[in-house]
Amino acid sequence: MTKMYPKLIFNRTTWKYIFYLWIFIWAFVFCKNLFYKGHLKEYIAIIKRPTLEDKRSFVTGDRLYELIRSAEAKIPENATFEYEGIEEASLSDRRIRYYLYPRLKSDNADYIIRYGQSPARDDVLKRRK
Amino acid sequence: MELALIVIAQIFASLLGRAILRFFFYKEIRKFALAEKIALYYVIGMGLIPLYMMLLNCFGMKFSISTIYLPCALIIVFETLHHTSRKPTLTGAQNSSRSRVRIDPVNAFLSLGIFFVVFYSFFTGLVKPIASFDSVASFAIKAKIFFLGAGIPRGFFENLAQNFPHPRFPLMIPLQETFCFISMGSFNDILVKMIFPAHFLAFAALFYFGLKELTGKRCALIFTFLLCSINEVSRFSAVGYTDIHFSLYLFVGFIYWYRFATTASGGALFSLFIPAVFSAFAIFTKDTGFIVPFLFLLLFVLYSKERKEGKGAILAYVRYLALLIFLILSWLFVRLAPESTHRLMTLNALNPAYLVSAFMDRILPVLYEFQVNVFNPKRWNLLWPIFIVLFILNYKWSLRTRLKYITVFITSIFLLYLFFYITVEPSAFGYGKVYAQSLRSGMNRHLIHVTPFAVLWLALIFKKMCESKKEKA
Repeated sequence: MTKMYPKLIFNRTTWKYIFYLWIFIWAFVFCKNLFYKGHLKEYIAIIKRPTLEDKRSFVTGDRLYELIRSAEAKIPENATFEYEGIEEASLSDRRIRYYLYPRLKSDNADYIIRYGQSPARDDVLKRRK
Repeated sequence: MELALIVIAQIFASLLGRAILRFFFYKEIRKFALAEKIALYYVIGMGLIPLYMMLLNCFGMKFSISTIYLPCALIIVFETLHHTSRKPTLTGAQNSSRSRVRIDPVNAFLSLGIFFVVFYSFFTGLVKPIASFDSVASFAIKAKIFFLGAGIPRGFFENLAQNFPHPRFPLMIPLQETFCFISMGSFNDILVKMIFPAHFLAFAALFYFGLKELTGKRCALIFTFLLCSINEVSRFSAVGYTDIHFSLYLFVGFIYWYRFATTASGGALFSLFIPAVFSAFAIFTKDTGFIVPFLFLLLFVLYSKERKEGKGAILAYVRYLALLIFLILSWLFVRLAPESTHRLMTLNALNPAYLVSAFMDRILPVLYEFQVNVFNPKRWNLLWPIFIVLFILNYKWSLRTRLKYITVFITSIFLLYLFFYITVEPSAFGYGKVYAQSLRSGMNRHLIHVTPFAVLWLALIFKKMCESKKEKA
């Protein structure tokens, strides 16, 4: 009874070259991400920021993070907030909720966080009830 | 200081894993290589601690150093005393005299490549805080809630969690992060990311050793390197998502069972224990984990047909299910509660007319997104084109060999995911997302779950090619 063997299309030498091609693609994509897509610049920029707060500010965006810090200082922990100028369910929305917890987002909230059209218009306002 | 504390926490988790494994399966474990043992201890320890925290929650207990560390420390101390009272025996590996180590340049290159990818994963993981969408919105926020509240707040799933996406998503990652925050004593969302590349390192180790027993050292190194060098795999190893964890649990649960089924290595109980424990981890990591018991049911059915052991296989599967349910019982109460609003599929999924209509509507977008993903060398290198061609060419052949278990496993995962894409409610993908957009963002992560199996399958095929060449010669 003859044994069946897998069909591998190419011979061993060709598969070796395909392996070398794999390594080339891997190295190419790695270098492209690092240099062309700016990952290296990003890493250097983050490393230059010494503290955890600085790094959080970098990934969030310095302007938005400053607003979040301001909101943290002004809004009591048991109060609620809502915001203007930020898209619902966006990454910025998620980050605001993440950093401001235990303060929760709510409709008709105690405080409004305004992310204005310019940094000068960013503010945290107490809603008059 | 926080760095030292989180490292200590992970070492502690590894000691817990060691205690559990050594107590129950000392004879099987002692034959493993040291690196394989450490990887297994780490993954099991880091998986059991969140399940234990879930149990604490059921009894209304708070999360603290004393409630988490003390009972686990008692287990470790008890097992250590029990172990030292064992009669010392030398394993074969310990018995052998030290031979000269020859450094093979090809093996050295491959090993360096693997270490480089893992090192880069640690670097990218620890250079910046948690930042990606799901890692912030679904996991880290819950970890913060549990850390600040010293536990899962009363009514969390019904009330507080509704403020965030996926309120009843499994809690493996959030609780692992909470454990790290409690160990560090602070909310440091950079250092907590260490657990992700650490799991990736364990994954690489367990993949290598799992493959080594089946194919030999060189082949295992080559294919471990290929797995680690896939851009999408290494990218997700450090961002704080669940997919590498899920792949790891799925693969390790499978490979130890497969080694037992094909080479009879490891005892029968050990080869049930590992799949059951890792299936529990998978269910507690992603809702997709609910497919895992069905996948193992298929494997047991195949195995029983091959060995003509109907009753034995049924008993083995019942044991597997019993241990699995025992481990995740506390989570099942939460996830399957009637008030759980997060439904993945509607009951329409059981309606044939709906299925046909959904299939006709969605099959083209699914196939389109599939080919966008797989024929993208920036994400997957050459894996999927090679795998798809060889898989189709050798499908029938592989079903007549021991590869049938992997072939059936891979086919079943693809079919189950296809069923999921056809029947899932669009809201399950996220808020207000168009179906095709959601598919794109979800499918590449689902492909990560299948990737180690595809690489394993290719490794065994190529190994068979090498053997066939030798036989012909």
